[in-house]
Amino acid sequence: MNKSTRGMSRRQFLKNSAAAAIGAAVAPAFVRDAFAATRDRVTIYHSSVADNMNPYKHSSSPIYGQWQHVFEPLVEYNYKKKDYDGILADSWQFDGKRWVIKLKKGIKFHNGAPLTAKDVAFSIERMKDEKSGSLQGSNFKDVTEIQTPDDLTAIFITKQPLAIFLDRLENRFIINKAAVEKYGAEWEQHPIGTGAYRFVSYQRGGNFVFTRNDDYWGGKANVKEAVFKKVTEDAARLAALESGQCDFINNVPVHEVARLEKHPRVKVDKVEGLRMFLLAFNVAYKPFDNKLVRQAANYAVDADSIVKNIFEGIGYANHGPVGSNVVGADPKLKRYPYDPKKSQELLAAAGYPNGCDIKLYYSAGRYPKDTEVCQVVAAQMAKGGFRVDVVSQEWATFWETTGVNGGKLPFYYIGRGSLTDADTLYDQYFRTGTTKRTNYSNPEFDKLVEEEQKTPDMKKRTAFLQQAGKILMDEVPYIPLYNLADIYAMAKNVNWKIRPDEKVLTWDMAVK
Amino acid sequence: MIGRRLIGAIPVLLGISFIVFLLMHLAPGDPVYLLLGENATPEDVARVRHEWGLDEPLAMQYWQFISRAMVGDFGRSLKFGEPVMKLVLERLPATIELATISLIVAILISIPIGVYSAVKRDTLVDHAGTSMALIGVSLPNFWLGIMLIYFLGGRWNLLPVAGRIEYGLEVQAITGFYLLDSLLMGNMAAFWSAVKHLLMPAITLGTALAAIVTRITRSSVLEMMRQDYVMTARAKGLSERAVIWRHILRNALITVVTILGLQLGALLNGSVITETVFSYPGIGDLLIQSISARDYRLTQVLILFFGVIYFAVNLLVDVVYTFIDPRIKL
Repeated sequence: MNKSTRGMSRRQFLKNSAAAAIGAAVAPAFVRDAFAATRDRVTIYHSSVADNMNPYKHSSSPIYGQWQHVFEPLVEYNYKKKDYDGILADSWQFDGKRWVIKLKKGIKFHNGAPLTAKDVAFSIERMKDEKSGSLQGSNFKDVTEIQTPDDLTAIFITKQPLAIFLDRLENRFIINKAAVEKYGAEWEQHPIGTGAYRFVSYQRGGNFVFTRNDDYWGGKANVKEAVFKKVTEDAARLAALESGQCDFINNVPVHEVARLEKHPRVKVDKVEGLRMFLLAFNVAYKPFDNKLVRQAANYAVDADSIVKNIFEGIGYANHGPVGSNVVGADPKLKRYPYDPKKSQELLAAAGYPNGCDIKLYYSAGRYPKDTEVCQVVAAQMAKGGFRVDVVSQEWATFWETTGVNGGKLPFYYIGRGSLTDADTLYDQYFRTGTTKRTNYSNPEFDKLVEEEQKTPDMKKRTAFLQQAGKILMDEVPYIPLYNLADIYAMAKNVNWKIRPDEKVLTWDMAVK
Repeated sequence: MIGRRLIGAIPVLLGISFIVFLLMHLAPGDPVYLLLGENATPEDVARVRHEWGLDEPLAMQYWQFISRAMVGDFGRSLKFGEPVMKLVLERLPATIELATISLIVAILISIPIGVYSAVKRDTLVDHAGTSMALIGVSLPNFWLGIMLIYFLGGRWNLLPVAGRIEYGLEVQAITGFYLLDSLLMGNMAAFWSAVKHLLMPAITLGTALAAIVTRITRSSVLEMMRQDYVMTARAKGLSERAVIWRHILRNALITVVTILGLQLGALLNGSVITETVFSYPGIGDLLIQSISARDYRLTQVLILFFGVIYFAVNLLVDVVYTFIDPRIKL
């Protein structure tokens, strides 16, 4: 064997063996991953997953949903019943400045400790302690004292009668006092609740994992393991579901619905979302100080057409001051019909015979198709006599004291999330002095809101809210638009009734 | 010499920290408003601002930041509530891993194509190579990323679309580099999962770099081919392969390495977008999150980190020169 042939054969040998090694190693690695959910595990790719391990350091519905696997609240709003269900609470009573909450018997934390009123008081105090990083303290700013006369009774004393207190208790999770005290500063790493799942692991930017609590007081869950992963890119979530890399996704863009519905192993489900979209006027600015101008604008905007043409019909135009599923909605109230001629007449009557120039502010990319919506609104309003200049601002600028919350924007496109009760919108946007968002002020309206907030009886409350809504529909400090659909998609073998509150809960999920 | 370079970095980094601090505070937006959400009243916001020391004068806040940073305390992130350093360090290996693999992908593609294009100048091969480079440099990486996700992920299910590793295969963190850790633990399943997760982001990130390096390699090889020493080498009777790879390429590499060093900065910038598209938990993704939450403390430290990396890479490039060309001394 001479030198050169030996060299050649060595080179050839190395080449061949390298190719073989790579081939052998790569081939199995690229074989398709197993498809679809099993009873053992459901993988959820969600656009929003907890950023930290403190269940109180956020204020976001999807994240409440994730923590709700481990922790539970005292009460939860039932969207079907339009009333509250007790979760940890067995019953409640409201009289004057006192809320008396009785806990269910026999509920145990994951560490075996029984749930007591002391845990409730401790949890609320944690939430109020902003030094600990809690962002949920403001829910209890009217609570002066929490009494625990016995193990199953917690009494909340409030500064003034607070009929809407149950709303404040929603999503306020109860943690175990003993466990927090045991782990001290490390308590966040050991989430111990009463929920249907136990905490397994959390990786920031990775997976948030729960496993079934077989001793759950409310009955054993079907699905053994739930894996949440944050995937912010729409295209990536869709691709993952279509290929079977995950079983469940949120925020499906409307233009993808038709395509996904044809997919052999994927189904789409949608529900009227709790976010209401509106065009708000700040009445401190001309010409919106004039009621006729605001009414004219209401005649000039065609919400039905926006839903139909921009959102492919997947949306729910508001007929009245709030969506029809919201507490306080009034079927008798109607939205202003689309009538550009009437709009021009009203504008002329208001002293703008030649129309008027206005600016419409929004924050591009914040909400689905917001740029398209605002451009269409501008075009519609042009027919009604408004010359609209559409201005987009970065969200932080738009939202904070430089914008909406500083009362700096005369006319803007905004969505109000988690809107189950008209009070949320009325109090925050239209009640005198709560915020500067519209600077609207009407003593008669304020009085109705005040009354409604003091009234525990849902029927009477609704009547107050409806009266307040009537005033709003006459004075229209805003243009009600629509609620969009929350669109989810899942593998066909996953059965779950999606919820309007942006939470994904695997407890009552079933996998075939 | 290296020592002097290191001392020289200090004023640069101080400058960066000052500019970033000013820019972040000049930009409208308040972390408290963003974190408290829709229900926040102005009183809530004021209270939390005070709690977090955001109502102090700017100069005071900057001084506090710098004086604490000097002793290695970068404070806690406003958004995540954890020490900033911990957040950065837990994500840094992911970005370094991604950048390294992208760099390797880019070099493996670009240098052979560049050399080949130059050697076969004005042939079909050359035209194909240069047009590919043109396309590569023109593709915006977020678009390329989404196309890869759509086809390789959604359509063909060849590669995972998000994250670093499959759930259940996580490896114990030794170095934080999943490829390395899984090899050290002898866990091949985890290794392949990490490789699969890296491929699409690395291609996305590496493509533009590969395109640039292809063009530079081609032109500097062409330039070297005209040099006298090449003729000498050929006259000695060396094989064409030896002439190209041992003589021409080695000299052409000096330019290539310079460009690679400069482009590493672009690679870091690109990681910001690529990591976001692929939900890849590195510091680029973290930076986007911290900026949109106006998390001043975290953003500041992250940008400082980018500064440090940029500086370190440039230093490294200079060191590499001395290996390629012994005439250069630091």
